[in-house]
Amino acid sequence: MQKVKWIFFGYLGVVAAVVLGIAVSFRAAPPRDPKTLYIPYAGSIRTFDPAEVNDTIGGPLVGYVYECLYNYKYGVRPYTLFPELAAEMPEISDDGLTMTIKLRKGIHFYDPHKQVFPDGVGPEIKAGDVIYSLKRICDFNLASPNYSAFQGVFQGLDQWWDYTQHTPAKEIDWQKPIEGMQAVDDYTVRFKLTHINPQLIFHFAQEMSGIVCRKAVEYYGESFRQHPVGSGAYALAENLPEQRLTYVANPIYRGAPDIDGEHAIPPQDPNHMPHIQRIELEYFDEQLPVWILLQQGLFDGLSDVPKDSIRGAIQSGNLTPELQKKGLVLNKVTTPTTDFIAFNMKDKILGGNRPLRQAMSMAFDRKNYVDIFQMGRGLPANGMIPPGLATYNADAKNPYTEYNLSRARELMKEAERIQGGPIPPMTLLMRDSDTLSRQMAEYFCSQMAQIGVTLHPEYRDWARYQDMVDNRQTQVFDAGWQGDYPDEQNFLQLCYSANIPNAGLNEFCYKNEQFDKLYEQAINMQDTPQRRALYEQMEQILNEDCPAIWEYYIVYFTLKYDWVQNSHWMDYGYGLRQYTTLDSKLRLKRFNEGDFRK
Amino acid sequence: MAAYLVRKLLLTIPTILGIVLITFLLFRVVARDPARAYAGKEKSEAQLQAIRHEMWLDKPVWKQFLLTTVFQFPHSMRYKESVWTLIARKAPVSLAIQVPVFFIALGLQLVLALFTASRRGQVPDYLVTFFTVLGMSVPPLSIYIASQWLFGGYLRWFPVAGWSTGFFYAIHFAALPIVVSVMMDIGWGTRFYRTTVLEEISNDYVRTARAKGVQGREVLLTHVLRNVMIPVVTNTVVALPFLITGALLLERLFQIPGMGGMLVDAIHTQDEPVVMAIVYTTAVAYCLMLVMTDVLYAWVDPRVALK
Repeated sequence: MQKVKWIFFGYLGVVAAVVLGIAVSFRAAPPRDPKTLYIPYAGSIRTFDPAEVNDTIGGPLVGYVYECLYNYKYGVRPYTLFPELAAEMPEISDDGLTMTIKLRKGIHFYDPHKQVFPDGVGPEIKAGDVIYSLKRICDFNLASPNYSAFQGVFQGLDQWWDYTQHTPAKEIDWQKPIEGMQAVDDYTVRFKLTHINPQLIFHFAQEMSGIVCRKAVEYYGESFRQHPVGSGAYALAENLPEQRLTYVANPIYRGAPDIDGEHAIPPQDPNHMPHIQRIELEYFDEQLPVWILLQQGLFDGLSDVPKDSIRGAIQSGNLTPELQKKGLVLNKVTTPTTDFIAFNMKDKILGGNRPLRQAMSMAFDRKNYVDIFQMGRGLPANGMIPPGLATYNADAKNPYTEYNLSRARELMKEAERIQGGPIPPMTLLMRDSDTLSRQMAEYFCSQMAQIGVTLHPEYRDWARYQDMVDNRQTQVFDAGWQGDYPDEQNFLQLCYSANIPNAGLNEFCYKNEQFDKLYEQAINMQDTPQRRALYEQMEQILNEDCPAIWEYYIVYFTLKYDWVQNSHWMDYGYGLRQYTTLDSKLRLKRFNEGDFRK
Repeated sequence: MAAYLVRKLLLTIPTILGIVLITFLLFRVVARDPARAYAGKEKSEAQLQAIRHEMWLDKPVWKQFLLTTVFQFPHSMRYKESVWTLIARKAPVSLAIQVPVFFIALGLQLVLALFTASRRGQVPDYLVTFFTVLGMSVPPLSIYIASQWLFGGYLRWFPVAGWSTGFFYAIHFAALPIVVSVMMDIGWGTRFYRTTVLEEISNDYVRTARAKGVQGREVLLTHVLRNVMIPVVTNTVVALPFLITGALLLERLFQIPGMGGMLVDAIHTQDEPVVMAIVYTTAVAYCLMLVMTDVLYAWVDPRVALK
């Protein structure tokens, strides 16, 4: 009996200790610094290595630290490039096959942990670093998901790929020359291209082309992906996976992205960037906690209002007065992303029956779809090219993106004549099996049922979906495209027939000789009114042919408190936080007046 | 006893291999080419070849399986880290939540089971039964979200969600998940142990003890409790391996960077090395714990003999 009593009381003691610990811990909340910017991020960050990053969450975080040759002017529309690590825009030879880029001087890598370089200051960025960084992307052993952007672009690159494939990683000779990448001198790089490629410069402005320090790569080895050493406005001071990322201002940053290191802005100058000295990003995959924490003032902004919170946050298109009073500011941004329901043009039913595709497109009520599934965070599409690109025209009329059931039914008669009878049931492939995907599929099927088209939905996880799409085992399938750079070619390439084979980007298997001819003409041209006219003609062809039902363009409802200033949405570009300012006095005032968590 | 243990341990080997083989085959059927899923839309055959190389998918299938059986896995493609490094980082976080939850809940379950069984058919029994059934009936997701809103958002007693390193910071963030999990776990255990206690109470030895004048509380704590220990030991020991795998939904909703959240993500993103490593580890631990259960039976109840 005594023994049992002791066990019982011992147990009570343990419970009491735990309860006491919990009580004590209430006061142990990590402190919030009024001069630090706090923002949430979703999705675990697998790498900070530019060569490996290819996702929309990791990309911007890499862009805090690394710089590329080019970047986009902050807040400027249409999107305009400026030289960042490059000293000027590239010099292109008359035949368009040689690109010469001069580099800025006096820009050094910074090692925040002082592991590679004892004082933190790394070597100056030179032409060799640019070539080394690009060579890494094209290293078989690294298996970079970005290799396809450069594959076949530079002369001699395929041989380099073969060489790395057949050489153990540790034995690779990084000095081995590639014909298409030459360091003319310390500050000049010359690229020899296999074909004219006006889009190449955009790849030089994507995070994947961030310039890395070879010594740091070699020092850290595999863990380099967790220890970024770049030249950007910020340095990653703390990396707690799936918890918190802390960025601090790079103390040797030159103060602005468009100047040489030799002409750095003094740190005490108010124009010296970054304006915010410390940024903490906290990992939150779930939206509800983020929404509560934002309202408690523990986050300074959100990239999108959570779907489930929209009804309570927005009334008649504006923030509720309660949220406005707190200092929250809503900004609606339309992104260059088109969601669509694609048709496999190799399918016997769909491929040769244009009226059927047109009818299906007209039977789809886009506005209602956006209201139901996007809570208004979408713009009904009138074509493939989304806003943010030069040829996008919000007022353009596309008869086949208008919801018109009577016209659709008329077209169905023609479609059935071509088919030689009623349209047989088809399958609709969805790219997920969650509840939302099922609801979306149900909506789509019911819309098509209005014109007598029967669809049987199939739900697959992403990998299986992609496998089926790559192997062209689809009829009607859910898809979308997010623009990588501000050039219509990025979207139109999806319909170029040369991209059909080998699981290429043309998942529609769309082939139109006239379209191909225009595409081949446009792809070799620089950005001119003539090229834009070609793009417009191509989109017209697609509008008429309907290789897909263009659903909507994604809109984000971004939120921030008014103490966060000079924060513009950019679809492209990196290192953008350096421009943002934080009015800590206003923040303090709001905290003292409002209902925030102190 | 030693011979018994050796025989039992040898028998676990085919069981573990069977589990690993089934998981391995499932991945081969469901995710026929994980390299494609990783590569995304803009990919070339050369690129896929490199990714397959990194994922060890260019090795013969039998070799991939053999490597798996000796705890050799490629790096996680999602985290770009060794799976063992990941487990070493995340298991302590899961344990920090699950161990207190398990032991607090177990104690409360036993206390409530003894209490309600000794007052069968009385008001306290009905009250406890009502609340335990209620707790078991409400979906965990609703309880998690409601508690976040109520205790974190409205009352502001606890942080809504999150995690931080450092002992007190960790408790600060772990408090609400622990409290909520304990409340949710009490129900089924109380009901289960109450039934067991009631069975024991109806046995002859209890009547004999009472006839001899032993007090009711002493009968419960000395005689009944000891005989109830067999199912307690079984439940406890087989539950231990799962403490390390964490609570899938709880970790996800409360943003606890533990094993549960990692497993959910790994399944969702078909991160095979992570799933395989966790399945393998859990299977090994589970089988070992089953052997340990047999040993503990003999310790708890001398009538049990290991042959």
